Amino acid sequence: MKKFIVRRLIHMIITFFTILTMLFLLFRLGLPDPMIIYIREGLGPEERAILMRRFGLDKPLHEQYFLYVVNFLTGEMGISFYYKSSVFPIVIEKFLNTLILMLPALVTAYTLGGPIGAFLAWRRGRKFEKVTTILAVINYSAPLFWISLIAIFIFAIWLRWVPAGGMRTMPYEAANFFEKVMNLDFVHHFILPFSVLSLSYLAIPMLLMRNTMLEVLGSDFIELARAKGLNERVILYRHAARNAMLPLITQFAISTGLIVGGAVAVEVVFSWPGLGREISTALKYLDYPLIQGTFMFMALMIMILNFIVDVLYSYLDPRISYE
Amino acid sequence: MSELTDIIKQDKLALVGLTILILIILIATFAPFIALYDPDEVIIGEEGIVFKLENSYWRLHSLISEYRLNDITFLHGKAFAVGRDGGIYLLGGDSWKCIYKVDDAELNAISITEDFGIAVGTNGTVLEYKGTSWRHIKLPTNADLYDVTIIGSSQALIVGAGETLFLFDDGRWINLSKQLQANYDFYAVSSEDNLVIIVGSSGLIARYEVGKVVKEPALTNQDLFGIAIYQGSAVAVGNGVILKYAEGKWTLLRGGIVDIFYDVSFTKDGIALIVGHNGVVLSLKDNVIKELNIERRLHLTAVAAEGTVALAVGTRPYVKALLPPSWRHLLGTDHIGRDIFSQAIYGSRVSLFVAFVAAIIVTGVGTLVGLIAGYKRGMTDDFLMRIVDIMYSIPFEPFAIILAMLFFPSIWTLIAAITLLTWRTTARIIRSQVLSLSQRPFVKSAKVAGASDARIMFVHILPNALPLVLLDLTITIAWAILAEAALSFLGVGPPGEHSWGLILNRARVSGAWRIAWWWILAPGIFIMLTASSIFLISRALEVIVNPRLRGR
Repeated sequence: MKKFIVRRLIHMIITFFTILTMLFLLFRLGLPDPMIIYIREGLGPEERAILMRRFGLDKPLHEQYFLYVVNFLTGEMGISFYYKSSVFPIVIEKFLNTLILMLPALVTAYTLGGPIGAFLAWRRGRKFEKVTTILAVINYSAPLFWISLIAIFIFAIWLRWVPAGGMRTMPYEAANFFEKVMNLDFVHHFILPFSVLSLSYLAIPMLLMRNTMLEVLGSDFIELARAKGLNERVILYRHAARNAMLPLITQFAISTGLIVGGAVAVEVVFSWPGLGREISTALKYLDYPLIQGTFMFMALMIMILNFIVDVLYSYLDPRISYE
Repeated sequence: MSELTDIIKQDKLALVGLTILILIILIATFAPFIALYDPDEVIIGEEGIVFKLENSYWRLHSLISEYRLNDITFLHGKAFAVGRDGGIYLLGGDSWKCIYKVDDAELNAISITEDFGIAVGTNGTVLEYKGTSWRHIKLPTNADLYDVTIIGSSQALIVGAGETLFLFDDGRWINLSKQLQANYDFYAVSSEDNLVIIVGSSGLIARYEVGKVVKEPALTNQDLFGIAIYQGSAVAVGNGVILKYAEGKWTLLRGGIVDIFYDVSFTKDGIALIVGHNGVVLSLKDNVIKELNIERRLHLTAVAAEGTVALAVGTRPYVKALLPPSWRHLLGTDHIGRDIFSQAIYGSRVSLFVAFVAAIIVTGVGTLVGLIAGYKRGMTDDFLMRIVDIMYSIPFEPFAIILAMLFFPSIWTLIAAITLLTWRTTARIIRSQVLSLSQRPFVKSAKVAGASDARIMFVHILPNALPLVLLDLTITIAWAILAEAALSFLGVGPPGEHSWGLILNRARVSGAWRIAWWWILAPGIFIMLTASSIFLISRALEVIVNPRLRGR
């Protein structure tokens, strides 16, 4: 077990450096002359040389790469062109904003989706079959950002129940993150994106739970429990559901990793100042340091959660061996 | 394959999915025939607006139709107007009523007396009014007819393009065309007693005398569009010029100015009212030209005066932006007046192209990697799966955004972003299938028989994994449709093209979607229909790949 965790950690570190290197090469390939950003300000050859030296662009490529890696590891991701301040604190702030929206939505979806899925498996029949199929089709085929647009149109523009976007009414004052989110104004902004996201995330745990439950309910130990004359409810929730939980837990961890980088369009639609929206607006301002920092942070989050998934899986399911 | 048709027959939903998908592919293929407009065409609208002269000021009077009006005339206090839609309108009180309409022509001019009237239009169209009703007559010419004047009680002179000239005499016509042999266009004609004057292109002024056209010496080479006669004197107007005829002599009052004058008419005081492009209204009396003010500076095409009452008709093209859905624009128009239905129809081409190309590349690469990793095992497998793991750590949308920023946003950037980060899933799925397939006896016997690795992989294993590959291809197509939409929506797609995601992107970026619900509704429904149709098909395929699902 310990050996497995160590090996998995080494893999993660290799992955991190590979992506970091890929990012470095991608930017050097797609942007051979980073000075192009300063052209708008009218750059003379001498000023250019000074800037090149300040940013270390006069050094050979491998030294640049080394500096780049060292800076990244110490949390020094450069200065954002747009905010004119250090990238790392910005990324952390936006990450918290993303988390405060996505995590409650995900938790709600999984706590509701699991039992509903178990119920659907238990009461399977023609009627419920149709319901699940239709739900699955809608879930797979309607883009979440489009559903969000429609929801904003109905609830914010048409009915005027909630604001159309943002996290707080501007301008506002908050000394820290806690102060920012612990008030009614935040809840008012939060409720619509939260509802849309929870409902759309609901389908995955529900369908997953239903399918695993169907498999579990057909297995021998359930037959045995029935033969013992146990109550159906006890069979469903104490014997079957427990065994069907495993895929649900892993899926939850995987989803947590994905929401950090996977809900860019939704954040953009709701003007939610999270990581995803940040990288989208940074594209508009060609804010290279911010884009790189945000991207690496997202990748790191996914890596860590994938690592947790693997470890969790090997711990929870003794049948799996990694030797 | 027979198994496939069997399952599709049983699974009604799969049949529905297949039908929808075929329909959408047909829409994409025949987009130019289905779309009613060019997706880039800006829809221009017009309005036929009437102005009334009150104390030297032209005030907005009424709106006749949503088409340009070409002429207006008076008969005993009643006003008649004709328009580009082929309608003849009568002013009763303060509102206009359409009294006759031709469908296949535009009307350019009207002249009317108590029991006789003529309206002329494009393509040789003539409408005759006799006593009580209008009658549609076709002259033996395809030329556009520009003007008409009534001489006496039952005669009318009709002029048109290419020196077209017809004398209409009590139901019969006499063709007097092409007498000058210089291919002039006759733009206007006017008559008073025995004096009949025709004006036309390149400064043409001619007198009509009993069947003959006599050209007057030219004072200008500019086109002349309007002529009016009053008590033996006349005023002709045109492209920047005003000419006056008095005591048998033409003089040039004004020339070489930028204004374009379209029509002229006299009030009973002998004041000539001249109207033109961009709301220009002049009054001319005793060689003194004064400019009058107007409430809205539209393009004035015609003016008519009777006694002291004067009306002018005008139009100004405007962009039909953000129109709600109607029969003419099924899904409305966008913020710069383009037809959204046509955009969505053409958009299916880009969306399907990106999805199919990306899915084929993804399935190809993913299958190859999965095949090699699953068959070779050991170091090769480890190495390839490590790459897959790395790929799984890259967030999809942010990566596409970086690609679009570093390289120009285009269809190929989209395809590259989708393929680079999607083959990982296919590779994993195919690998696990190949892992179990390569343990089967037929692979071992092929090995013993001395078959090469490539032969075993492609001839023995791949055909057995083909149902799974096919299933993966369909799911990847659906996924690519959604990915294209999301990425285009975020601005990764080519800015000038039309795809469902790009339409939604423009709706968001312009901010106009908050007013125009129709703008976001249609592309989303197209995306949903396409993705769900493919999803329904893949459900049927899944039963073939995994027979345990049957009956579930």
